[in-house]
Amino acid sequence: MKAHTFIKTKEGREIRMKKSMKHVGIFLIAMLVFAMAGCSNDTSNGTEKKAAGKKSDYPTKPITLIAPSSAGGGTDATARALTADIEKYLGQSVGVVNKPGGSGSVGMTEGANAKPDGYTVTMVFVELTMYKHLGLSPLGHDQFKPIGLINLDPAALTVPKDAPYDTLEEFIAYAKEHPGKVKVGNSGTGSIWHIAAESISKKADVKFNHVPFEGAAQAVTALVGGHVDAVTVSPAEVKAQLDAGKVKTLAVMSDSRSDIIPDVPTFKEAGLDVDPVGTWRGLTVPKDTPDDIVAKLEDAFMKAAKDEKFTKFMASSGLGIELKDSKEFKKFMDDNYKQFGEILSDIGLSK
Amino acid sequence: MKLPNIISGLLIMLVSGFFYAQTYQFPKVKLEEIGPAVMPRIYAAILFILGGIVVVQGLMAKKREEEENEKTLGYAVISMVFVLVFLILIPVIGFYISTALLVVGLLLFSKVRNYILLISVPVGTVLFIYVCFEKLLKVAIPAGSLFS
Amino acid sequence: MNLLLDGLSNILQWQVLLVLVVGTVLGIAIGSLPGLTSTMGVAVILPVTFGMEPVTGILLLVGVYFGSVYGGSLTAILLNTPGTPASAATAIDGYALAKKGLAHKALTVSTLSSAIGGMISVIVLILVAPQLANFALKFSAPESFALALFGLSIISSLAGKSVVKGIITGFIGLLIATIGLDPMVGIPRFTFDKMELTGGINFIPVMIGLFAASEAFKSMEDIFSTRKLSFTVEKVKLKWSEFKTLIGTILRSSGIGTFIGMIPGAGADISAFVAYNEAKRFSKNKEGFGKGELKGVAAPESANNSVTGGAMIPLLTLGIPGDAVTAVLLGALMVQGLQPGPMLFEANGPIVYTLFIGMLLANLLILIIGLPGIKLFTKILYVPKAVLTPIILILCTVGAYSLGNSYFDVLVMFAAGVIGYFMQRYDFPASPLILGLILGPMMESNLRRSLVMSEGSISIFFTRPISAILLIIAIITLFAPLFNKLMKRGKGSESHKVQS
Repeated sequence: MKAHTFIKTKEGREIRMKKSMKHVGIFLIAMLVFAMAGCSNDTSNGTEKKAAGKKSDYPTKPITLIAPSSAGGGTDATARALTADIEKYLGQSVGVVNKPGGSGSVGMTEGANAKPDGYTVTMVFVELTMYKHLGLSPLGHDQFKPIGLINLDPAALTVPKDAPYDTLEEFIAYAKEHPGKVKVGNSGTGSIWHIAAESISKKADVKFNHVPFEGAAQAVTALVGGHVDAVTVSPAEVKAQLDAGKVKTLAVMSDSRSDIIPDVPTFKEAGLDVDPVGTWRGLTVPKDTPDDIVAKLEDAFMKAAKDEKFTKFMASSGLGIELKDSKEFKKFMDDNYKQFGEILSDIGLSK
Repeated sequence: MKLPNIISGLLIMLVSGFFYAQTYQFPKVKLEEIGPAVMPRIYAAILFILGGIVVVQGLMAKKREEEENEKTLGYAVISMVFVLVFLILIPVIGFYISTALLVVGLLLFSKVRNYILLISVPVGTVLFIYVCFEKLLKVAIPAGSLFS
Repeated sequence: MNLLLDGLSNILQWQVLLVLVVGTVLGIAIGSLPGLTSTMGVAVILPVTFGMEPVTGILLLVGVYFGSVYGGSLTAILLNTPGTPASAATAIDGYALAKKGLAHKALTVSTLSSAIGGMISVIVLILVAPQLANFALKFSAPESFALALFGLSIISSLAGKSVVKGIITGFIGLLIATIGLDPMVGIPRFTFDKMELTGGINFIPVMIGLFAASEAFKSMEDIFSTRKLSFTVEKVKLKWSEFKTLIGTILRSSGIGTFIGMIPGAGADISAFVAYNEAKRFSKNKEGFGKGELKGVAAPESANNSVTGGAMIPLLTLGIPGDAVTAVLLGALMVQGLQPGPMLFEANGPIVYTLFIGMLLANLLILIIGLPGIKLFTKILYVPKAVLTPIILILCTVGAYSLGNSYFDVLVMFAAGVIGYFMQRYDFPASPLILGLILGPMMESNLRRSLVMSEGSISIFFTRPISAILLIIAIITLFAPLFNKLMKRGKGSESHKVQS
């Protein structure tokens, strides 16, 4: 009975425990052995083995999800919505902890340096593949083990409704006639939306006047107020103004059309062959986390991302869902890292 | 206010001078008319001048005014040391134990000898933070390296 | 009108009312705790609303939002600990009043001003939102720069005994605000290769330290002081004749708050300082400010609460969030299938008007909960300082920490507390520093953004009417004290001449 109360701890999954009382005894002995082995061996080996021993049991306590942004942003909202009902799939609750600062590098660095036991998951976003290029932080995506990609929103070229151009082609022609005069609002120099605008200007060989704002929302406000001529932000960020008929989106920078604005062509369809640029959010754990724990998390989070409540939330917030499993997500980040490195060094922002 | 003005003025000049010099260490960017260094440099320069004015004001002040509560300054500084020790302890023994220690320490320091207060105040504070911040607001209160 | 009546009947259901009460009470509690901001309160409650009916869910958030802006003033007045940045200006005269034993009166004024300011802004929102929204859109970088400069010109009137020292702390605030990543090109400034500094120094821990922690250190001194500085709470109630003198201030400040609220990028904190300054400008008793003037409480409180309605104007009519709180609310509305923008009123008229009525009710609730609560709130002053001080220091710590779960913020708070203590001791005022911290980034990034937009020409600030007017007001405000002095001196020397 002692063993029972010991295992029960505070989480109180009694029923399962009672059924497997016999296993509990064996498990305890195994734990003891592993713990002793852990003490005698070097530490990293010890945690690995301990983790392996927990295999059938993980997770036994609530998990922390680091959102490297302040409360209230898109990252925060996605994290909270995704974990709201995750107990169903994971058997444990996930608490969101905001760690803002340094364009996300503060929270992500902490996530990368957390104990690789699967109890600290980090929501990373596109900036992770840019820190090194921009010289903002030595943190890179290789310091994480990916769980999966959840959300992807492409850049979309949006202009005021009364602008003298209706297609991407006309826009570029206009920009060629007025070099350096077309003001394109972005969410900060070196930000993903700045990269998007630079990608267009490089491919189409035109010169823009890039105007950085504190964030995409501020850039869109300036667009509606007529203070800039175009913005390159996500469809979600201009959707309200699109619905209100104040702006028009000329093209989206993705391989396929956006679900939010299915009538708008992709850049390729509109005649300009640029690589897709977009913002995304995914989940990661520290790179030494054992694979079986990653698999469990991957399974649970992918299921949670398909949960109807979550998909409804994302759709109504205008956020695109794009699921990639651990492997695909890794390749995706590798590609991003290369692509952004090239663009950033072209515009002289790379360190 | 003679001596404090001279010291604070000199301190302001020193710090602003340091910040001014630091602006020359900023990475160079070619993109803009007003670069990242311009505004900090203006602020630091103005501060340097204003610091100088305070020094002059201190020098011009006729007599050293009577410092009425020079004695009590010690108590404020000691309470700062209490808090500093508390902050150093948080990462080690966790927030809750350090909180209890700080509260009891400050109570004893301010000559509270009532046992009911010495027990109820730290317990109440810890409970309040546990319920409001950790449970309701889901703040990740540090547990301390000794216990995690 | 019919829509408003429909809204009223929609609201008068016990679930909706209950949610509104719960939200307002929660908001007041969150707002009164240092470090817990309105944004944080609304964001934390947000997921709870996903499962609710649209009106119920949004009104819960509205209650939290409105309540928290009011709640910040309670601790500002009683403990010199502004619960939210919006109440930093309230602390100046509110705490001075409390020290005089007039906490009851100060709280009554802040409750009344908050509720009235909030209601006025909601009424403006109901009546002329679309017209005002288009005006708000005219605000871009040059206008925001001019507004920030105008805000900074207030420093001269916030300075206490020494104008030079007031300007110094203002510039210290501006300089601290430049720490971190540059807002335009993203290069690190004064970060000394510390990762924690790349995000800049968060001004809320600084504020908690400067106001609350430094006050706590000082009260440790008072405990040992031979002169007994015990707080008395006189049960002096606000007289109707006194309230009458405040009406003008409340109305003006509500107008200022509503206006600043609807401008993207400027919020409750700025409006409170601007309203404080204007109250002082229009007052005959300028010397009384800073020493416990009721208008010094009425102005910032009516202004920061009227920001709530003002901020809703661009949010609901254009779908543009003016600040962080409304950005969260935008998300909440969209989750409920309500797309803010011009279409909102056509597609969801009844819901919108129900929300309007709910907002009016939330402000009424501040009055209903706040006024009887004052007796309870002032009880805190009966707690012996020896007991209260350690609790305040703990709350400062946990408040600074919970902002971003950051130990670094706690260290910033502590440093600000120590520095703040010595600043207070040697007559360096804290509020200009806060103002510099808030407005510094706004001024610098908009100045540089304007110059990018105009390709380097400074004519952009003078050819745009709003920006030109704001700049002129800023210059007048900046030099008014100087000008007044010169006038006085001129007169003085003239009379001297006559005599001789």
